[in-house]
Parts: sequence; structure tokens; C-alpha cells
Amino acid sequence: MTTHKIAPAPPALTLVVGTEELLADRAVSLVVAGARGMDPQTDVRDISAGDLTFPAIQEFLSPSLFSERRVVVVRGLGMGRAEEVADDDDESAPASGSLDDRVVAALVAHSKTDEPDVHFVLLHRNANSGRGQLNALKKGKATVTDCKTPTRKGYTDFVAAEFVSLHRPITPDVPETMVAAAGRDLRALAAACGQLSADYPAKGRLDRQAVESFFAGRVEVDAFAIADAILAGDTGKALVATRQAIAGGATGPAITAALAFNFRNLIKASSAPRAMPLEQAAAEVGLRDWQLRKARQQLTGWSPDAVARALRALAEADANVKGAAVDAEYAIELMIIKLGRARRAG
Amino acid sequence: MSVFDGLVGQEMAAHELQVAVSDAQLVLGGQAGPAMTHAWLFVGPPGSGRSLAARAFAQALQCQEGGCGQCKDCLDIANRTHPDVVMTEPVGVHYGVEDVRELVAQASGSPIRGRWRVFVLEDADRLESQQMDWKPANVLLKAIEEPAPHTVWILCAPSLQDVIATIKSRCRVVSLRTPSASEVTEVLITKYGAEPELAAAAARISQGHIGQARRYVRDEDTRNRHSDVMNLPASLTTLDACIEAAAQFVETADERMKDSVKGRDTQEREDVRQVYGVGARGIEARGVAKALNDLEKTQKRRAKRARSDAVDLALLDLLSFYRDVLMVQWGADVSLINKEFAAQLHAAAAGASPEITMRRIEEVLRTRATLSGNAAPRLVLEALFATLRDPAVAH
Ligand SMILES: [Zn+2]
Repeated sequence: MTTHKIAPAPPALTLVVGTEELLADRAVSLVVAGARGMDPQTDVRDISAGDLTFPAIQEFLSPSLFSERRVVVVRGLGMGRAEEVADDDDESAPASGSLDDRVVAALVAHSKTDEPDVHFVLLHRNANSGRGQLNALKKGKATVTDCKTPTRKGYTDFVAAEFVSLHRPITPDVPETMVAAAGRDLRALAAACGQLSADYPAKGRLDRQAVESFFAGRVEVDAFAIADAILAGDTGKALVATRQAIAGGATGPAITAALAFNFRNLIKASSAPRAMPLEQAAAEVGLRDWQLRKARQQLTGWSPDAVARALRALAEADANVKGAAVDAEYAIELMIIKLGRARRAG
Repeated sequence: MSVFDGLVGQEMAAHELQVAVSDAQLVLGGQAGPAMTHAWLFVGPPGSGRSLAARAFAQALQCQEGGCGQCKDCLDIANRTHPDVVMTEPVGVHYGVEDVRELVAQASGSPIRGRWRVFVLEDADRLESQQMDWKPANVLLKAIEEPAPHTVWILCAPSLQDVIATIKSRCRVVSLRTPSASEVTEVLITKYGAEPELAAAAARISQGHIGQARRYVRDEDTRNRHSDVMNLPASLTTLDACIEAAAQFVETADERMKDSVKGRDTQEREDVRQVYGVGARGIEARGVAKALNDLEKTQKRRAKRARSDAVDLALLDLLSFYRDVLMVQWGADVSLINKEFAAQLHAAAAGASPEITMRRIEEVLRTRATLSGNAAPRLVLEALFATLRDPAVAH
């Protein structure tokens, strides 16, 4: 017997809900593989939400001359204001995808089709602003795939499941060790799982020691570690973290964006009502409760003027790292020093 | 009726161009026509009508009647569908070398339907870029030096200083001036039927920029955006309000940008599909994916530029606000640009010293310069608003 995987026949409408990219990509691949299993010539279209107009969907659904099977992947739905760091990337298209009501109705009707030959996959980021539409889309018989960012346990579960699908037995401490080493990043974790299975001969169980030697010497200090050090007022630690982050491939714009994100949280936290319960106060200012708890701790030492100075230093560094003439690493270091000074000046 | 009548306050330039048009006739007849030449540089501040002047000149050159505004040639040029009049603008911050090469290649041909091949380059100041190694300007320079017999180049730029010297020296310069507020007011009333009071406000607020003034008169959203900016300074009381305002500012610019590129983007996608003969359900031809992909990149660059232009316009409004505040503080409030917002201006004037107002003006100017690069607009605006809240943090 072969281990050849056969994907199930895909539904007429799949809603992929959440922002976890790896999970979303896998959900799309599953539908495409299912359709290709039924018809190798399946035509796959990848379009953005704005392109799914009413005339477009009518054409997708009209009977085909070639009786071909088709998968239509629609990206960029339900983007909202809470796009966090990605928001700062000015390359990102400012689409805040929502669909024409007639398009939604057509999708809902189509989702009830038995044996469809057109399969829609809608990638919905489920920001607040898009919720109403998501609920409307669920009215028919859509298959909903949850791709929200996992909890802490979600990451270890993910690692365990990866090894199962790779047919690689592991010792129980492996998932924890991997998450600690690779960080909370599903793509990095998936890549590491694949690499580990390939690197270590397939006899016996993969153990913690193998994982540690695989990650040895690899320092995963991301831009957020810099932010943590800066906000805690530890300029020296922030400078070390900066060097490590840059050595590990972090770019100048990624660092300024991460810092800007953290300072915004700090500002939001400063205006969160103290008298309210934590969850409620967090929701009030658009933070998650753990973000508010953390930012409140960081607030000590940061006066409004110090934060204003920090924003100036960040904006200046952002312009510098994106300009052609300046050494990005130097610009970032200079910014770190200014941020440290801003905090001390109060 | 002549196409030159549409140029507000540009009698000198119009006269010069009309002389060139009649000499152009002589050139076509094989005679000498010294007032006509192959390379023109139209300079004038934003809003002075550089593009309009370039278009009128192109119409006058192609038209049998010297620019009647009514014939097929004139109308096709106005609709940007004339095969012998190419109007271009940089899609990104600067012209790309490839874009300029393509133009130069087109320029070597002879006219298809008209008498001349006319190439209008908007924002010729954006030819010059260190990042591009000066290449776009050099490519164009060669074409201007050795023009095909019936090719005319019209370059547009805000001022002479903005154009690279080698190009400048090979062009005949036509200077356009900013029309006065009363000239703009009159055009808004007579040509666009605006109410006198609204027309006067539009002329003042747009400071001689006719396109802007027209939008202000016609479009309520434009007026609302302006009044939002007038109410912004008073709202910057906490840092929280500052980051909120920055997010709002960027969002508004996005909306404005979408308005300006939307129809065009879809049309261009359709055009590509047409060229490759792709129906909505047909089998996609080879190459169409790449062509669409290239187009998407171009559109993204253009969207980015349109967004930064929109942010810049709002910053200019903000600048005019603080300029007025300073006037009030100096007791010169007879000449307020934003007269309609006297309450906000007086409140701001009472709440700060002239020195602080000056610092705020400096900060807005500095921000405009920063945003002409690639910095993240939201972050830069957050820093600006946090500084406007209390300019002491700038030192
Ligand atoms: Zn005509």
C-alpha cells in the first residue's frame, strides 16, 4: 500500500478565517489539491477582494464552454484598522476588502451547490470591521477553516502534529524545546520540523538533544526584543539586541516598524481607564489584555514628552534606513541611543 | 474660441506659444520659423496650469485651426486618445530609465495622423535622481539633442532650478505664473458657475491652484477634508489623540488616492486582457499573467505616489493654518487664507506665542521634506503631531 495522500473533494465555498499565513496557505493548498485530484486541468485563479465584483462572480459561475473545474482564491477580505505592524509597511496595498452585497448573496447561494465545479476559497482576516460580512458569508453551507494565531499551547501542538504528518516519532519534550528555540512563528517551526526530520536519520525517536544541537548558535533575537529592552530603559541591552537582530537578518524598516508598534501600544495603554477591569480597559483602547498588562509595566519611566521625543527619533530613523545613502545599522544604533536619552530626559 | 483662452492669467505665455504655432506652420512648409523649436520647458508653480498649457500647445500644433478646441484633433488630445500626442508622468517617485527609453523610441517615428509627434513630460523635475544614477535624464538628453524632424518635446517642471542644467540649456523656457486670487475667483464664477462667496473662499484656500480651487467648489468631500485639517490642531491634546489623528490622516489620504486611481486601474487591467485576447472564462494566453503582474507593480507605485501627494496636500492646508495663526498673532488678520475658520485660528493664536507657531511651521515643512522620501507616512505624521502638541520636544 502506498502512502499517497488523497485530498478530499473540496466544498463549493471555503472560508479561511484568521491571520496565520502558514495555516491559510495550507487551507488553500488543500482545496487546490482536492480539485486537481478530480481534474488535473483545474484552473486556479488568485484574485484580490476588490476584483470579485458582481459581474466577475457571474462569469465565474456561468456554465463553462470547456466544462473545466475551477478554484477561485480571493484574498484580502476583512482587513481592518487593527492590522498592527503590517500596517506600517507602505508597500501594502490599502485594500480593506469588503464585498458587494450581491456578491455575498451569490456566494451563499453557491455554497449550497452539490458537486460544484467552481470552488471559492475566501481568505478573511476577520478584523472588527469585517465581522458582519463574515457572518453573512457563513449563512449558507460554507466550510470554515480557523487560521487564527495560536495560543502558547497551540504552537507546541502544531509541532507535535507536524512530526506526526512527517511520520517522525519524537520524545515529549521536543515541541517545547522547538518553540523556545524557533519562537512563535509557524513558518519557522514548520521549516525546522522538516529540516530536522531530513537531517536526523530515521531510526529511533527524535529527542531534545537533537533539537538543541540543531539550533545551537542560532540566536533568535527579533526586533521585539529590542523594543522590550528600550522600553525597560536598558540602552546597552537594546544595542546588543540590535546587533543580533541585524546579524539574524532583521532589516532597518522591520526594526523601526516593530518599535513604532510598541510605542503605539504604550500610548494606548496610557489612555486606558485604570478603574475598569483589565479586559474591558484593553478593549476600550484596542489592545489585547496581555498587551495592556505589559505596556502598563513599561509605562513607568516614560513621560508623554519622552514618548513624543521617541516618536521623533523613530520617524527620523525610519526615513534614514529607507534612504539610499545612509548606513542602516548606524542609523538604527543612533536611534537606540536617542530613545534611551529621551527616556532619561523624562 | 481658442484653446489658449482656458489658461488663466497666462497672457504672456499664451502669446509666445501662439507665435510659435504660426512659425510651426512655416516649418512644415519647409521655411524657417524661428519661434518654433523642438524642445520646450514649461515652468510654473503647482497649479499654475503647466499641464493645461502643454495640452493647449499640443492642440494648437495639431489642429487645422490653430487650436479650436472643437475638432477631432483637439478633442482627442483633450481625451488623451490622440495617437501623436503622448502625455506621461512618472508612475513612482521618479521616472524609470525603461519608461524614458520607451518614450525616446516612440519619438523617433514620424507622425501617424497629425503634423507633429508631441511628447509631454509632466514633472520633469523627477527625471533627475541620484538613485537612478541620472540615467533617465541622460537618455532623454540624447533624444532632445538629436530630435526626429517632426517631434516636439514639452517638459513641465515647477521651477528652473528643479531641472538638470544640461536639459534646461537645450530647451526654450516658457514661464507660467500663479494666477491671482481674483483671477481664479473670476474663472470659477464665469466658467464653472460657482457662487461668488464660495469661489472667493476656494481661490484663497487653494492659493492660486486652479485644479484645487475647482475641486473645492465642486466637491463637498474636498471641503470637508479641508475643515478636518482646520480642526486638527486643537484636537492634539494627548499623545493618544496624536496617533489617532495620524491614523485618520493616512486613512483619508488612502480614500483620496483610491478616488484618483480606481477607474484607471480597472481600465488598464481590462486593456491588458483585451490585448491578450482573454475573456473572463477563456484560457489565459501565455504572458498575460506576467503582463498583469507588471501592471500591478506599476499601479502599486502609482497608488503610493498618489497617496503621498494626498498627504502633502493636507500638510499644505495645515501649513496655511499656522501661517494664519501667525498673522493673527502679529495683528495682521486682514489677509487670512482660512478666513472661514477664524474661531479656530484665534483660539490657536491665543494658546501659543508667535515663536511656538514658527516652530510648528518649521516642523510641518520638515515633515513635507521627510515624506518626499520613503519613510512610513503614519509614523512620520505621529512624530509631527506629537511635536505640534508641544514643540518643546523638538529641542
Ligand atoms: Zn481644433
